Amino acid sequence: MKHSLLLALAASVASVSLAVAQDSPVTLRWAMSADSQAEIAVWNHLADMVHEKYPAITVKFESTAFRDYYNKLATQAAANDLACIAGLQAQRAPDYGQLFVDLTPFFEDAGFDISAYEPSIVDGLKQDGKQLAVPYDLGPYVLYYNKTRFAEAGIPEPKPGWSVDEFVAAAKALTKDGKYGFVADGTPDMWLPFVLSIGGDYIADNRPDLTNDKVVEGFSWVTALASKDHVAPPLPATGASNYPADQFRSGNAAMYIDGPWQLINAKANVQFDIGIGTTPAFGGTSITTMSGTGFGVTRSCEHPAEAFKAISVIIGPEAQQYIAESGRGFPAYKEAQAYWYKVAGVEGARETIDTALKTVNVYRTTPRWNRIAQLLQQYAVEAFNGTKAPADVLKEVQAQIN
Amino acid sequence: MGKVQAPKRNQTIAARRRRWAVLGFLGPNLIGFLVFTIFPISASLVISFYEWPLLGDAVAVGFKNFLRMFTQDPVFWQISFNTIYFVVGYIILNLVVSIGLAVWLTSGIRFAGLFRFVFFLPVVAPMVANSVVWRLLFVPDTGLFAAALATIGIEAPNWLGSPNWAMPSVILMSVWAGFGYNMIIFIAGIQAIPASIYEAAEIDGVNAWTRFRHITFPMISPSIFFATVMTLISALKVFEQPYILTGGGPGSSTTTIVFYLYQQGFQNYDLGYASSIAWMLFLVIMFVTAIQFWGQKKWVHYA
Repeated sequence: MKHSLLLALAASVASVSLAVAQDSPVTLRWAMSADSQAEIAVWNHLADMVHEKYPAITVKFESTAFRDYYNKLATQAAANDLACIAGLQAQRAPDYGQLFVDLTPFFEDAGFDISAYEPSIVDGLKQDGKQLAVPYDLGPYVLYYNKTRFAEAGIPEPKPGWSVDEFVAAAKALTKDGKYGFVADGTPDMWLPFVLSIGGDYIADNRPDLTNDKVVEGFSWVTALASKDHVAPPLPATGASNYPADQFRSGNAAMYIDGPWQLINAKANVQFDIGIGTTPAFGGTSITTMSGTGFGVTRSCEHPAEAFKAISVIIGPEAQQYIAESGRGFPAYKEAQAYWYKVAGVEGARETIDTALKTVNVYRTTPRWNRIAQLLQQYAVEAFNGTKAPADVLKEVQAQIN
Repeated sequence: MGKVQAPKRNQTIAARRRRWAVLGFLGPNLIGFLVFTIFPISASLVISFYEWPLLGDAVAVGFKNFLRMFTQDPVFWQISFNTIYFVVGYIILNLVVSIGLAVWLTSGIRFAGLFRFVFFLPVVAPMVANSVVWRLLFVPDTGLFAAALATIGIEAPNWLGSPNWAMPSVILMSVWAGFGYNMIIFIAGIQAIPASIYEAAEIDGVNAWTRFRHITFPMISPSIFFATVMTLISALKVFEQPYILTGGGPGSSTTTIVFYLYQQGFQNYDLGYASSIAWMLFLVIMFVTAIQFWGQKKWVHYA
């Protein structure tokens, strides 16, 4: 009797507070990385779009440089001061997924259709069946090439699905006058496609497995382009975040592997024509990795339903069109991709990305992947320079992550 | 009896008041020191006995982190060696260059002020900016150093890509960036030496080397001692250079202790292990500095 009275009381209090929550305005904090004022402006614009559609919701954007973003997220989580909405990159899900709630229950209420988004990245932002974040951008790693240099060398440009023999022939033809055909470093994004395409896998039993035969074979193949064939430059050890991209943009190397989110920015900053092709196929198979970022609701958020509403606008059709038109990331919302291709204005880009997405590997990672990527970049220098066997380099890295 | 006590009591009251005044003046700094230095340092000592991930619960593990450092970590000893390599190379070169230039700049040359200004400039420039610029100078084949050597027919090594050359390159850049500070200290020390001593030496017909060996060096030995202690401490804590210039590579050949503890803490999210490395380094610095203070009696002359 007493209990049921209490329950009724609790229920009525709850319903009153629910009613209050629905009517009274809420302010939600939104954390995301941004490395330029232009990016911050884009995010702020999206925050305004939320308020326009749901006047009761105000989103306050908090930016952090990409380099510090995840450290800040963890620090805020430890201090119980997390923003309600936060960005999550697929490769960081094993480390930070625990901070996010499963979004699936919110889909129906908000009338949200996840199938309108690229399935590979939707999958990449899942963990144990939970949808930790819904994607705003994605990208299969593709092969960037310097169209101008291809024309000068008089060789055909890469077609989607081109073979490894064609790739090597092109790299050789493009290597002359102190310039190189290709450039890569030890960052796994740059050489995992060569492992996946020969049927290898770098994860076994949810642990990194960098010393199996296929990984060694694929890694050795890429490093030999620099150490034996000399069609790729020797590497310095560097604290720079993307040395190959620098080499490509300065014209020192005619091809390298990166995500399509770099395309529009790269095109604006180089003095030659850029093209993108698929990573070379081994025996007809080209499998590349991918990356992408989404937004999720954090566990400590007091207004998860409102937070999801806000997210559904932030990654909604209009927002995705806006992002595409302002030349930001390649949109995960399939309908908006056409706008992006238009802004990018790179011939053949659509065919390349479509082809790459057909066979893409979602690029599963393990906890502390960030550390693994850093170690690989640091240790691979000697493999590319030919001062250490690639297999030994992988062994040294594996020894430090066990 | 009472007569004696009265002034004593007055004295204690005055002393007490003075103590409060002293505390009042020290307060602002002291609070900052307690909150931002003593507390984090003590906390890191506690953390070093835990397995402490950035997210999730900490588990007390006793001395496990320290055991791991000495017995299991595959690179800890190499990284310790790297740090010693850097410290020895950096201190010797830094002192030779800074003392040499200080002696030269105080020898009555023209434009001494201008040179002093120019040599001091790198100290003012942030190490991050220095490192980024030197990264370009060290580029293989087309970098400034490689190109300059090529004009005299020498094929330059891949400075930062070779495990043998990477650390010397880091030391070279660090010396360039850091010698100016010590140089200024030595110039001040040399200028404080009474001219009469040099005049007496001149009358005795002493040559330049003997003058340096028996007058300048002993007279500035307190400055040299100070510079050595401070340079050694800063060298043991070197971080920006591997962080920006080499990323610790190739392999771990330029990874130093502080860079490694950063990697463990903020790439590997292992704050417990990172803290235990930090405390290890603290003990080493304290030990080395104590030895220096003990050893100074033999060679430092206080006027």
